[in-house]
Amino acid sequence: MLWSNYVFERGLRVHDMWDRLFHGRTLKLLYITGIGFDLRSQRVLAEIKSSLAVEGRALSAATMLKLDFRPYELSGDLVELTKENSATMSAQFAALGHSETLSISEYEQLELGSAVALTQGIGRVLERTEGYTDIVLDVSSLPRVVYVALITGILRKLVPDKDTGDSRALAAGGVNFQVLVGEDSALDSLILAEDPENEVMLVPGFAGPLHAESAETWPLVWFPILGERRVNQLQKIMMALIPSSAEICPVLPHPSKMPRRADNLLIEYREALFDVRTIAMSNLMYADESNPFEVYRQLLGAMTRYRETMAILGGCRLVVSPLSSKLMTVGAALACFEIRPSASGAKFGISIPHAEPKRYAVEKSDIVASKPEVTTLLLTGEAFA
Amino acid sequence: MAYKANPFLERMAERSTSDHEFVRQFSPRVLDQLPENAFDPGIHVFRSAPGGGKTTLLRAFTPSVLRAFWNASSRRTTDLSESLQRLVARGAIAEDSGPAVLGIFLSCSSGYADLPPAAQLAQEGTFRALLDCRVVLRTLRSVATITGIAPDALHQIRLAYPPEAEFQAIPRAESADDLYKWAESLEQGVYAQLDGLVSGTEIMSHVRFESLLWLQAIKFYVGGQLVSQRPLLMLDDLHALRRRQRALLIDEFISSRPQLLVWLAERRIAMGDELLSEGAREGRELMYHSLEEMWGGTKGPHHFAGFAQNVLDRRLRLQDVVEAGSFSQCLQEESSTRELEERIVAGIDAFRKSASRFQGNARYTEWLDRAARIMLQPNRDAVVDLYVTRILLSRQEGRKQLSLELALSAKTLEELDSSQVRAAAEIFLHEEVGLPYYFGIDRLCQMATTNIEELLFLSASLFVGIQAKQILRNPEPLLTPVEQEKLIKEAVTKKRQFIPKNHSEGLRAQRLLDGIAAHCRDRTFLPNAPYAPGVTGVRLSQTHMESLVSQSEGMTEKRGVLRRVLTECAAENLLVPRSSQESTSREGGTVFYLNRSLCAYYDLPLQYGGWQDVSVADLMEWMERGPAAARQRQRGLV
Repeated sequence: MLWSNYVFERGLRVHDMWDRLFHGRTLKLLYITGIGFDLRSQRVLAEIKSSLAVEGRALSAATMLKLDFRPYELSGDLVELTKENSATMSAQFAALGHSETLSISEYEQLELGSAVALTQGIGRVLERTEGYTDIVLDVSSLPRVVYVALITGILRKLVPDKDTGDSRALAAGGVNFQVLVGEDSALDSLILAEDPENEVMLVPGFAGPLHAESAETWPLVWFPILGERRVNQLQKIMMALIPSSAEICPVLPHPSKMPRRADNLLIEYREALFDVRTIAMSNLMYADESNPFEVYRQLLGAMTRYRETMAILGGCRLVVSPLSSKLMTVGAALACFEIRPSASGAKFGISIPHAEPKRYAVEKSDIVASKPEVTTLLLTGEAFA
Repeated sequence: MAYKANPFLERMAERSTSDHEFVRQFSPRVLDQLPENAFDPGIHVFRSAPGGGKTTLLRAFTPSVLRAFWNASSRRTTDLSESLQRLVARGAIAEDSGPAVLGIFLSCSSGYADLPPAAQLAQEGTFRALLDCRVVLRTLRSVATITGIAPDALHQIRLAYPPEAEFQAIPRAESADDLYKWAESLEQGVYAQLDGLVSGTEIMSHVRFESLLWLQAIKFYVGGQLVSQRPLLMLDDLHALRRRQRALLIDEFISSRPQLLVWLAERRIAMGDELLSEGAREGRELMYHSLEEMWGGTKGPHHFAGFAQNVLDRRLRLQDVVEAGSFSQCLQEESSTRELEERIVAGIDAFRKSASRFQGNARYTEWLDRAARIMLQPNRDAVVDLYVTRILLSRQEGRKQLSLELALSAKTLEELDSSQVRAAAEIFLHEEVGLPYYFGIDRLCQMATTNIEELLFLSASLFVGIQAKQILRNPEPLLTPVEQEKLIKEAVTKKRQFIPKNHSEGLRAQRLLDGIAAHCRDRTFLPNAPYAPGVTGVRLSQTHMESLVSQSEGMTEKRGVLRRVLTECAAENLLVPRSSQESTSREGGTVFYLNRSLCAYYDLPLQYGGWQDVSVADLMEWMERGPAAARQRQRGLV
């Protein structure tokens, strides 16, 4: 387990961690964020900026890479908010360095499909990560499929020798890669994601097992990580990809700020999931909603056990569908990164299918009123050397 | 919690269920509807909306399923013998020797559309290479299944090729095991590169779809015996390919003039604008079969009802909570008068009120006397009779300026009383006093709109009610018409609410449907029911259709969006397009009927036939503003 010892801080303690991380060295910073309507990204940027602005910090270069996506269908309010958010963030970052915009949706105009567009876009972001001492990925206003692909993609680049199982592999030549989340699970549950794409997309880098004909006969284990108002996305994935013979292990957020949250989710998904498929009670998994490394640990442990047990059947396909909060999704991404086979020919594989919505709806007042708690996960760098 | 509570909820039976379960659920009656030429060598394209039954059809011809049907013949299982007989009649199973077809079933949704955009030739080459290796892998597995060889004993299958057969990419291996390993490593290599997120590396490429030629040429031997089954290559989900890939595949398949049987299946969405323009439907090299059209024609609905009931009965047998021989047994076809008493009284009152203005008019005396006699025995039929009279009174009232003021006889009323007027009376009664309309097995089948997935969706709701009655030890676990309608309405409300969540142009589609429905309702519930039983569709004339479909430069963005929304609605079965012939007084066009289960949501009748002409501008308005725009149109404000 690569992150058996982990660095995860929230609230005011985030600044303590940054103080120690930024102290006494010259930084070349790449800050990756999204152009979206979610104002949490501003709050996150303001926090890290205040820490970098402390006297004595040495910043030799700083670039903010703003990722632009194909136009989602948004209300007039949200379109305005997106523009304002982008302009404010550039202005905020100007004190540190320069901003660039990178379009992820370019290839879609060629009718090549969103999966291809995303793969190409992620590839170009990865090319831009060369030469920095610190890579910061703010997932607050990034779509789920993008930040999962970015986290796993950046980690694959920084930690090529993960299969040694030694957490020192996370030293990554001294490159500090941290993921920032402006967490507000109440706001997450208010954001409606509708009009899903007709095609179910597989996160780049995790396509093989669900597509490969040679893996068709391997048993499939599915880990849907349940979250509010995502039943339609779950149904899309289930109908398209999950056979009835699949072993299904739903992951529920528990403990949670709201003690009945897991129960409510069981009710919400009853008809779409539990009435349709045979799911043993013992397959339900619980993970702390506030700690992504708990999700990582639970998921990785379960996937490892299934992989070992099913080796006798010739192999297995592991499928993870994160539909819950950002923190839980980040935890799931880490588990997927770690278990993914590095070489071809392995007798198991992992896929992350996703039904990307085309339309988001949320009240502007809810976004403006949000008071997110900033959290950071330091995934690689000197701390692991 | 290890249970499968509702056997009707598992809708994608074709992909997600096990072979054993599939064989039990498969209704062979769909085979009767297949055209005779569907088994002629060549390329056949099957089309339908999602849930129309394409994949189910294709899966029935896979080796494991055919073997299961064949094995059932020895057990003399009644359920399965029906399937067996039909498969024998279609030549898929030989009565004395078992499966006669070697089904090779692949889905095109397996990542072809995600191949990277490299140089054109290389991109197509990777697509061909991936398809070739998958056809080889699936063929070898199918041979193993049909001959009863274990998957890890492929070395028992020997391969032979005619001397003239030349392959550039697929090796002429003599052992199935060697060929399998070649195909497996080719596929793994492609995915290792694709998943590596590394650009610039060269991915395997083929210059033609060689697997088709390979499949035509190759012979398989097991234990020295030739495997005699005739290959049937089935490629499903063609719509999942990129447009260019789909065109390439079809073009190259056609130009290779295959001597074997190739079945391609795709959703109607793949037709794109063709769906609206009714583009090329037939070709010499390509034979198109629309699953919806198979259920069309005069006897089509009757055949679909039989097929649908067969599907429901098979599903019902998968559970043991409800003890019933057939699904229709659980649905009561008639309400008791006591259950409807209040509604009947309300209906009679409504009739009295509307007929009061005709009292004292000698022209209608006989009709009103007849109505008074009917009121003496209040029941469902009586109140329908009254509403028929009310509609006919209203019609006569409209004509009075043109006719002589002669008294109308009861016989005249009987002559004017048609099945359409009676159907209109039923929907009026439903609208005004809540007399149940959406109940019974026939209307359930109508609401399915020739789509099995819709049928199962509605039946799943009904089953919940039946199950609840059984669990509560109700002496008669039948759903009354009132109960059926309540459950149906809940289900269709959910269907309508989920449109924005399930369709990529969902919100606009929902508004457009709401607008169309509002317009249909306005025309349906006119007192004289001029379009009896009602209006359930709108028609665009040929001129309007052309202006919508043409790609002219003057095409506004809004018009393009409407085209996309209409195409998606038609492809996803939310609207049912039907061509309307020209006549002396009007040009031809296309009628877009509302999906029948949505008719239940909008409280409209279920029959086809009633439509109203609208313009592209109307539809654009409705798409953007929904029913409010439709109502304004009726009031002449727009």
